[in-house]
Amino acid sequence: MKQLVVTPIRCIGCRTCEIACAFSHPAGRTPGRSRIRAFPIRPPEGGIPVVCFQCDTAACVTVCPTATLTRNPRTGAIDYAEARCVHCRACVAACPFGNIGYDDASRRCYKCDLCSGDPQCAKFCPSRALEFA
Amino acid sequence: MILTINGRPLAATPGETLLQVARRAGVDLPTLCHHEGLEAWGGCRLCVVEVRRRPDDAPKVVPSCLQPAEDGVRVETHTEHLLRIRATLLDLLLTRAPDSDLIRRLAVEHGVSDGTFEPRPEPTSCILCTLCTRACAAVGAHAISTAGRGAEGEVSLPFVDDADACVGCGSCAAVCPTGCIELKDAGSRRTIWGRTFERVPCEVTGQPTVTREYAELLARRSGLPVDSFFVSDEGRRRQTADRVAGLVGVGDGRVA
Repeated sequence: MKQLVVTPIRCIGCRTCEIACAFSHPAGRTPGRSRIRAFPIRPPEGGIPVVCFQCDTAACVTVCPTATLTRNPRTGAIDYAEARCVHCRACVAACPFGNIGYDDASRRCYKCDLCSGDPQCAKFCPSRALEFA
Repeated sequence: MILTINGRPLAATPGETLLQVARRAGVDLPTLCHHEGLEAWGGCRLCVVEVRRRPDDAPKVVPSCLQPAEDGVRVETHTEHLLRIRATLLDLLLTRAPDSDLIRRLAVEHGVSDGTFEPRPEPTSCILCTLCTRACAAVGAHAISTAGRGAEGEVSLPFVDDADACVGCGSCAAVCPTGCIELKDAGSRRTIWGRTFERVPCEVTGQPTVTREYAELLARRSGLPVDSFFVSDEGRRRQTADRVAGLVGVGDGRVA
């Protein structure tokens, strides 16, 4: 199964991934609610991309009381089923990497879903810091 | 297994309810007490359907959210009889919650514009769907439950005002379909069920995170230390980036 491979040393901090992510997740998604973040770093100029690791034993899945977060067997991503969510935000509090958030405006959690098996951030990354391989 | 809904043959898997099969097929069944993530309860009765095992059976009216799918059953979702049942239920709900937009909209959709019953002296928006109490139980707080019977039924704290078990997670207010549970967030102060909580500020960004009471509950549930819940997602991402920067040895080990 393909994975989103991050090579931070190649990141140039352009944050194209954030825009690609925001545009490929409609329904009120803005770059501020992007599921991937590239933190600028210097010197030298670069960035550190931070995105969901789709952990094997994931804290978000462990604490979720309603099985809203489950592994998608096709993509390998941990998917969020909005209809099952009771908005307790335990996942947000539990993720040790900050890779799941809650958007008050759209009243739902947002996390990387690997774009259903075709991550747009990897497609648009100009320096191959993000690869789907 | 195969069953028919409104004459359409549909495949169903064991363990599925008729409501799930119907919704998957795009049948519009109204519900007020149903939530995919919570135990089915069958309280609102709006999802009633007619079920027949054999073609010449008399139809049996059952709540589809509780009725398991069975091979070969014939299901009808919008007969005149069912529409009349739903209209009566909404008529009754109107006497309890005349000010609820959701109930009014559903009532109008079912041809009920004005309640025909005598209205309740003190109207409430709570329709006793118990989504809040079931969410509270799922979270593990068990702070609220239903109390009283009949017209006096309500959702209540133990002994009316004992909010000790509430952790201030806000799930009850978030799942309430009529928005009748009041949750007030003013900065880091959260007031709900008559109790005021302090949401602990994130140690990185200063944004309010969760209440100490909720963190303690999450710690009990997950085995993680209480303090580990007091960092916001933004703060955590920053910490993650810092750690990665240190590991790969770029920059001075800290993100800008």
